Amino acid sequence: MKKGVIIFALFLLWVLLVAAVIALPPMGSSETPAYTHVVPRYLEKEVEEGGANNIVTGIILNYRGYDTMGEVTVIFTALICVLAVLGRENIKRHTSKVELSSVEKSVIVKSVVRLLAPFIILFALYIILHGAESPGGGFQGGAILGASVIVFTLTFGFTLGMKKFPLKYRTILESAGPLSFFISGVVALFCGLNFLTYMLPCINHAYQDLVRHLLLLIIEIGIGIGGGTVIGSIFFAMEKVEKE
Amino acid sequence: MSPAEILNKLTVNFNYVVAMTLFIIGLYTIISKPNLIKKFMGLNIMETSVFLFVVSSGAVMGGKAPIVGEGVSPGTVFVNPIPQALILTGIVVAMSTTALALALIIKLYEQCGTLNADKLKEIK
Amino acid sequence: MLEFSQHCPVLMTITLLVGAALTPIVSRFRKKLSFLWAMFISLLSFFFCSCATWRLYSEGPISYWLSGWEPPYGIEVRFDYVSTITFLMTGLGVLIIFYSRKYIEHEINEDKFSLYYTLVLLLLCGMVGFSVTGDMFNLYVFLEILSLSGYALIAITEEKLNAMASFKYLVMGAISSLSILAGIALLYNVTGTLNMADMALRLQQFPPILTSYVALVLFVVGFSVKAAMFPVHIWLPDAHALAPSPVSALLSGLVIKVGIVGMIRILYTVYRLGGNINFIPVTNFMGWLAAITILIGAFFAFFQDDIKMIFAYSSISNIGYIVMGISLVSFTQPEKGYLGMVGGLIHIFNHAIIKSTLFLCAGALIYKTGFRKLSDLRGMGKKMPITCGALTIASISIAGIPPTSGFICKWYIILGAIEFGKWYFAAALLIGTLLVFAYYIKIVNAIFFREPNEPITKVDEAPMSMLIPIVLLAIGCLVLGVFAYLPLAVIRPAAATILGLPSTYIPGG
Repeated sequence: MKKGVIIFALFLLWVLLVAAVIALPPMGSSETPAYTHVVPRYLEKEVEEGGANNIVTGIILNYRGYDTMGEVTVIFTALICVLAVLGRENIKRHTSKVELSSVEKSVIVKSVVRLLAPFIILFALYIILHGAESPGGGFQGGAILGASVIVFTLTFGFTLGMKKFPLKYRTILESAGPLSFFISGVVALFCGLNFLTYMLPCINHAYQDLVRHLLLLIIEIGIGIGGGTVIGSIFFAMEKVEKE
Repeated sequence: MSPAEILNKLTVNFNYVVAMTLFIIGLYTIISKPNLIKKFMGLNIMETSVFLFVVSSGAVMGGKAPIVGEGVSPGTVFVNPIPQALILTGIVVAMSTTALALALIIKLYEQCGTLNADKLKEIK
Repeated sequence: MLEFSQHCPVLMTITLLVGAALTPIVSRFRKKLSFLWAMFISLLSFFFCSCATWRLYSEGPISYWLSGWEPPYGIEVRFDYVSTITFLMTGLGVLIIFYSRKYIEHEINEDKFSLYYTLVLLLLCGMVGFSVTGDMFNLYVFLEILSLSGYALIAITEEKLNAMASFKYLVMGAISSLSILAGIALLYNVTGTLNMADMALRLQQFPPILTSYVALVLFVVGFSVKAAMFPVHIWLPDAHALAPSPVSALLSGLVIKVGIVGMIRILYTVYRLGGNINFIPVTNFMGWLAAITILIGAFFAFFQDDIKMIFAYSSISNIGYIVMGISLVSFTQPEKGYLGMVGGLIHIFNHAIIKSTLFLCAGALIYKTGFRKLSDLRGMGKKMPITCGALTIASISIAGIPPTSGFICKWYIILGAIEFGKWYFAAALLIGTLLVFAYYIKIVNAIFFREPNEPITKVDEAPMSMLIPIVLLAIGCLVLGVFAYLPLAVIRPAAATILGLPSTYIPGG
């Protein structure tokens, strides 16, 4: 009975939503309001105004940079939330289930991870630094960086993982995302421009483009390193088990 | 609208319809499943459905990925880049919600030893 | 000064954001430093907010273009009359952080102190950013920051029930966020822009299609969950009652108001009155739900014994008043909705102050005695006179007895309801007020006039760091009531601009 009522109500909601989406302009058309209002300027002028060949990167970092600043803060918030619920790991008090299990890690896994780990990190750096020219960017690279931390810890044990990525440095690197945004954004205030402006007319004309790229690079690296560290720290907080 | 028109619209906007169906499936999962992890998977289905909807709405027939550079001729049609930028943010937000929800689930399991919502209600 | 004050709307958000990001680093040097740091950051943000408010009332609304891109292309931060709520948010934030110093020792583990302050700063950052933004997607991003930190603040203690309350809040909050995101996506496809003002213009240009109405429904449902309206209020009582008291004060005083601010933005900034899309059926429905919310909240509050549970249910009831106030509008005659709107907006301010006082007083009682039940708190009035005095002032205020601040908003909402001939709304409001009066009399009676179950020996007045915020807030309740023209002067332009009238509008003038 109760189930029937729920299904019926959801069916009504479904009909409403489907009616809403089929009233939209046809998908894939280039005449839609979404494609003709704001987008043309992005497609035509982004390379010149934003300074990135990848238009999505240009939108994320330049036109809608404030959103991305909020987004980076969301990642940071997620970490703080997880820590507030579960608590930070402590090298003296905690170990992990992987470490406690009696199954021996195979040599193949260990050698492969040892061999691949540098390349994974290199690839992550490539993705971070190449975000302006090709698909990729800080978030994607950061996720790969975080994955490398997780793979390393799962193979070589929790204790070694905690030793290799010590808390001392992680605490600072976790806030790299919001802070790099702040550093790059606040420069413009001293030139009398609005927050997060990267094109600074108050410096020598010859260096303007260089400075813009530098500021964007600081942000990309900050997002990448911050994101990767946050993912690693969340993993450590979730994986830990109290020692006997 | 006549039935034929509606049918036509349904096929043209097929991605949108699928996205909305997934939205409802996710909502049903949250309401009906007692297990917290399943509830929360329903939430992820809902999130993905919204992302699917937004990304599909940026598609343009014959459009290329919006990257300018060598080898891209001047007259190329690009897809709408805004939905992609928005969904990048959306995915990050979804990941953050996931992390917090999993942390809460871990804590609940440590404290109560069960993840069944009906049993958890009795524990009080 | 003028040059600088133009940056303030964005600086107050950024300060909180960067301050939060630095808190874990600062607390590595010395544990105690995190409190001072949080105090400093919130005071700085309060200062920026005061500058922005000062400029708003001398120069008019501030429109700030992030990165210098003009609105439909970049993100616009708009500090208008509705954004004055940020003044309240940052101000209350300072007081609550000050209060937390002693209180959290009682409920939270010592290693989590710095995390607690980080989360409070993030919560404030989310609320402030949400209230000043002029961009739809930016709204969603800040909504997520504040929701996530809100969920975690409830679960920061080690209690079993807290994690469950937090999970319930998380699931409902995430569904509501998604419904808002889906609404944004639909509206983006209809209008092709994300800027609120531009969206409103584009909605007028095209003939209305069904999608816009469905998007409106999704928004209203989403923000109703955030604001805890009936029938989606079920997450609120547990979450607000079980959270640490300063957090309850923040959540009950400010976070649920964010849902209301969102509704105002959507209904009156994006879907304008007198525009293409007639949304009066939606506001009418909201009015009915608000009437039920008032009665349900007051009714359940009456039967609670846990003091924080009473306040939590009373918050639901008060959200009903606010929503009723802002939903009393007419599509073609905006002047008609003026009185209700003024009432609703003033109640946002008053309820924030009163409810924070109540929760902070309850916190002081719990801190000193360890009891939460009303039956255990009997006779505390003699032992903790200042706390209980403040509690009494706040109780009288919320019941709406004339010289206090609760009276004026209810008066305006009733006038607004009568303006529309909806006497049944006025009746629901009066019944709700009577019930409120009854249960607050119950609290005051128990605390002052009943003999304790067993003689209280070791209880004395709460520490200074808790008393100062409580006394300041209680004075605030009195001042806002006796000098009611002060909040009215702030609210009038806000109510007028929301309805699309000139900001100097005076009814009948």
